This record gives sequence, C-alpha cells and structure tokens, in this order.
Amino acid sequence: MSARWEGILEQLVQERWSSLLARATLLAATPSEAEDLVQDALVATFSSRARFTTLAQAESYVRRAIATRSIDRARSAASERRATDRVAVRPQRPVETTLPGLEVDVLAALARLTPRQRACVVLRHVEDLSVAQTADQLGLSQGAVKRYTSDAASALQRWLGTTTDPEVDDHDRPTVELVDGRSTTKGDRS
Amino acid sequence: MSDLGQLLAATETAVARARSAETPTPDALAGTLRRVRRRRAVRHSVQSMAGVAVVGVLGVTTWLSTHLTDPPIPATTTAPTASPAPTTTPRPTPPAAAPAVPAVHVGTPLPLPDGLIESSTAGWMLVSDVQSRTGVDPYAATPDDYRTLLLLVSPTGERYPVLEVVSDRMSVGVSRWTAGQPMVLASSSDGAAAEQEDLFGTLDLRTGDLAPWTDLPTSTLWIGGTRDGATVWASPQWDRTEIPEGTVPMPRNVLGSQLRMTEFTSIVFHLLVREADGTQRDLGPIDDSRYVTSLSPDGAWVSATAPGGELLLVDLRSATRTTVSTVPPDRTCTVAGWSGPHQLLLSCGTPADLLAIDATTPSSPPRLVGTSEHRVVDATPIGDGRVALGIVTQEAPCDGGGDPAVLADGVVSPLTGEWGPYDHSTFLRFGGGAVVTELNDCYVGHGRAGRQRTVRTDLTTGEVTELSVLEGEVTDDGWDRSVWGWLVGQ
Repeated sequence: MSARWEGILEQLVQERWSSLLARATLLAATPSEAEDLVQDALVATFSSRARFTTLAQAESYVRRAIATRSIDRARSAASERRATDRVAVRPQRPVETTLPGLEVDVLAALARLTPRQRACVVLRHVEDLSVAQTADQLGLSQGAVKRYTSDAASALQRWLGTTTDPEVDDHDRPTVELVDGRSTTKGDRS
Repeated sequence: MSDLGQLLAATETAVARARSAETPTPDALAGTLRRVRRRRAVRHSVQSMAGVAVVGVLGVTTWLSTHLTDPPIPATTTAPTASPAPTTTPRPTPPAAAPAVPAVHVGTPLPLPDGLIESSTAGWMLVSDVQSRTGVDPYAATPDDYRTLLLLVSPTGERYPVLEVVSDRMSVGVSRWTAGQPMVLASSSDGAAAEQEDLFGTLDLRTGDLAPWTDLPTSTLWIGGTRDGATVWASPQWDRTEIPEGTVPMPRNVLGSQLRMTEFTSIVFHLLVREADGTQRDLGPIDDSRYVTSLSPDGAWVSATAPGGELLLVDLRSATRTTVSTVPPDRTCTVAGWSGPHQLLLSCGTPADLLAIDATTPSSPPRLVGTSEHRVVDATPIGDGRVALGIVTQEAPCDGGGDPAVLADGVVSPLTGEWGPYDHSTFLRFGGGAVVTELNDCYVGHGRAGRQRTVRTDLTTGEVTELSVLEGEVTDDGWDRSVWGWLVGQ
C-alpha cells in the first residue's frame, strides 16, 4: 500500500503529464529543461506542506511551482547545463515536439526570452493574472513584472511579425495583432 | 485573454496535444517518487523536531521498529462531576542499567566567533540546513552530494555554521534548546540505513558528539520538556507488519501543525515521562483521533484524546487522568493550545469562540476569553498577558498552519500588517518576543500566493525581518539549500 500523496502524484503524472509539460515548454528554453522543470515542480509540490485531496488541487499547485521554479532555476548559471546533463542520463531522452509552423515559431521566440520574461508573459497573458498577482507569485516587484512583460511582449511581436497598439499606455498588457489576420487590435497600427 | 495570450495558449494546447501519448518512463517516475520520499523523510526528521520547549512537537527516535508489548494501562476516570479522580499510580521504572553507550560523533565543529553560543539569547534559532550540491543529478546523487549544516541564526538573520553533519548521518534534528547553552536535545539518523533509524540524545554543539539515550523505548515521539529536566514522550504500540508502506506511524495530533501535513497511520500511544535521572513512568494510553496532544507551559499537564474520544487532561505529577465533560457538545471544538500556564485553550466553531479550561479545575465551565474569525491553533502565552497564536485563514490543502496573531483583552489581532497581501504562514513558532514563520509553502490554487521565505515578525511592533528563502538559494560555495528545519531558542 502506498501513501496517499503517492497515489495523487502517480495519477497526476499519468493523466496530466502532457498538460504540465506543455506549460513547462512555454516557460523553459529547451525541451530537456521543460521536462526537468516538471520533475522539479513535482518534487517541490509533493515535498511541501500542502495536503491535497483532489487531483485538481495538486495540478494547480504544480502549475504554480513550474512557474516559480523556472525563475528559481535561472539563479544558477549552470541550470541549463544541469537540465541537459540530467536528462541525458535518463534511459529515454525527451521527445522533440512536432508542431505546426506557427507554434514552432512561438516556442522559438519564447526560447529567446529570459526566464523572467517568459514567466511574466505567460502568467499575465495565458493565466490572466494581474500584475500584483504575478509579482507575488514570482517574487518580483510589480515594476519588474511590468517591465519584463512589456519587454517580452514587444520582443515576441517583433520576432513573430505581429504589431502592437501604440495607444496602449498600460504597457504591461500590450495588445497584439497577428500578421495572419487571426486577431485584431484596437487603434491604428504603425 | 489578450491576443498574445490566445497565441501562447494555442501553442500550449498544441504542445499538449503533440505529447499527449507521453508519460515519464517508469524509471523517471520512480526517481521522482524517491526524491519526494527523501525530502519528506528529511523534513520529517529535521523540522518536525523543531518545536518550542513547552509546546508539543515531535521527536522520533526510531521508527518502523519491532512490535512493542503493552505495558500496564492506568484506569481512565470520566469526571462528569469533573473532580479529577486519582487513578492507578504507575510504578516508576528505574533508570535502565544499560551499559554505557559511547557518544556518537554526528557533526564536525566549524569555526565560530568566540563565545557565540554562550552569548546567544532567546529568539536565536538553531537551523538544520540540508543542502545538495549545485548541478548534481538527483537520480545519480551519492551521499557526498548532500550535506547538512547546523547553524545558529541571529534574530536579524546572520548565519553562523556550527556543525557539518558527518556524511554517514542523514540529518540532525533538534527538539529542545535553551539559548546560550551548548547542549541540545537532538536526534540523528543513519543515512546508510535501509530504514530511517533516529538516534536520540544530548548533542554538544562544541564537539558534535551526541550522547544517546538508550533507555527510551524505540520509536518514541517527542512531546515536550519541563523546566526540571523531565521530558514527555508518546510511545507507540504497534506491530510493524501492520504499517502500510510509505506511511508514517504516529498520532494525528501529537505534532500539531507538523502532523497536519503528514501521512499517518492511526496507532495507540502511551504517554511516557522520563525524569531527569532517567526514571520513566507510563501514564497510560492516549488516542490521536481528535484533540491535540500537547504539554502545558508549566510542564504539569498534557492534553490528549481519551480512548473514548473525549478531551483528556493528564496530571504528570500525580498521573491523574481526567476526561473533561465540559466541552460544549454542540460545537466542533479543537485544542488551540494554551492560554496560560495550565489554561487549555479550545477553538470552537467558525467563527471561533475561544474557551479556556483550567486544568486544575476541569469541572468548571469553560471561560470565554475571546473570539476569532478563524480557527485557532498553536496558542501559547508569551508572558506579558497576551497569548500568541495562529489563525487558520487558508482552506484545504493549506489549512495545516495559521497566520500569527495575538489574543489580548478578548480580541485577536493579526500580526500580518507588514506582510504582503498573499502571504500566509504554513508553520510558526514563537520565541524571543517574535514569531518565526515559513511563508507560502502551501498554495491553495487561486493564482494568488506570495513568495516562499522564512520571516521573523516582532510580536509587539509587527516589524518583519526576512531570514531566508526556503528553497532554491545557492550558497557561495556551490550548494543548493533544499529542506531545512529550525528551532527557536527559549
């Protein structure tokens, strides 16, 4: 018989692995680092003081841990090498993701950002967290979150060929328009 | 969601779809499980030791041991008239005439400023810092890739490494320390053992030598200590073959907030007093099903759950066991701690009525001493008429600890004025006019949580001093701090 946390961890891995890996992929520079990030987040989560009664609770916790640890790991200059080396010793290397063109470009663009920029832009634009919530979650100042988010969004727009609204003064939430016309933004384009 | 957000979310969905058939290899999953088990074991053995001297926390000597025989059980007296009825006086067991056991060298002393230990005062902390070498692959780590330091940390956060735990010891947990003294009640586990086996005894911070207490029954749990040198323990009665793999056999409430996060298996324990001279007394069975087992600040009483589920008070001097019949039957009451030297505090309902029961007159109706919006835990008097306590402001799974507050004149006032809006405590201990708390080591999943760190908050001014992050910090000499525990000196 295994402990209750082990059952939840195993269920989480079996049922939500790809979802967690996808989130980590947005936040990591490489596929190997993404898998490492999920593993670290699982360890941190189930070593914490949280008492999980549902899978959803555990998944929510792990998702937050993935974001925060993507920042923490960046503190060490060796983190990327560590991730690569660590995965390399496993029996099976992580699978390179096969995606349509646009998503590949997005991942490539994200990989060019710093870990903090990636975390900020994902939490702000995917999780829809506020500046304050993002700052608290990542342990950054609100000013830093605004700066990282703005820089990241601008860079992504530039690299992906999107445009932004120059009238938007809330530069922490820039609006973008995709060049393929799938999305629109308000105001004039420049 | 912004357009950029939609693009990122679409990418995330595409990645998840592309990798939907994947799961980690069995080896990778097994590795993750091993890492978590090790951390939980280390936290258990380190931090669970970290209690104030007079409030029940735990110490583990050895666990998963062999079957223990049942000692004689003193009768339990229910007191509807609430006059404590003396019961069987347990026969003291003289000090074991075991051969002298040599001290075990568990740590190598590190250079310290002259007189540092002796000059430490209440509010200093002893910290067990379990570290892993930066960059090491945890799946291929060897014992040399881990190290444990025992540090003294000043109230303002300066760290002074005292001992480096020798490599064949997994950790050193400290359970009782009087600031200024070099001797610590501590435990250490053998890192090479197949099963965790903690050795309990007196650790000399100056030499790193631990003098084992071999007279204690195996697997005994620490509850607290008295000023005259006696120690109070919970001794489990179990058959190891009945313990599910991976679970921790211990009473649910003995450890207060510690155990609220720990997997456990319900087990019958006996209350054990070990006098300063080694004489032991068995004060009968205690249940773990409802009421926290804790030692009163005057060291004379223990609260527990009677075998019948009622609130139990045990007089450690006379061995009198009294079930308390004055607990409101129509309310959900939990033991919140102690509001005076022998005043047990109950937290009843939510919002909570805080009811005090005088252990010396348990038949008297409980006295309403305050109300709280939230359930109260970990209450302890702090000597100036106020009671420090934790208020449980978070929901499951993060309801194992409480945010610090003080009770004065019937009013519970939070001490979190200088905390961030999303900061919450997951573990707290009082000492030296302050409360030390771990922040945000549990996340309820609302997208709002502060940064993980450990802080000291002044009980009078509310001033906050950040002591350290919990995890992720890299030392100057290339070690990652991982799991660590601490004890506030009294």
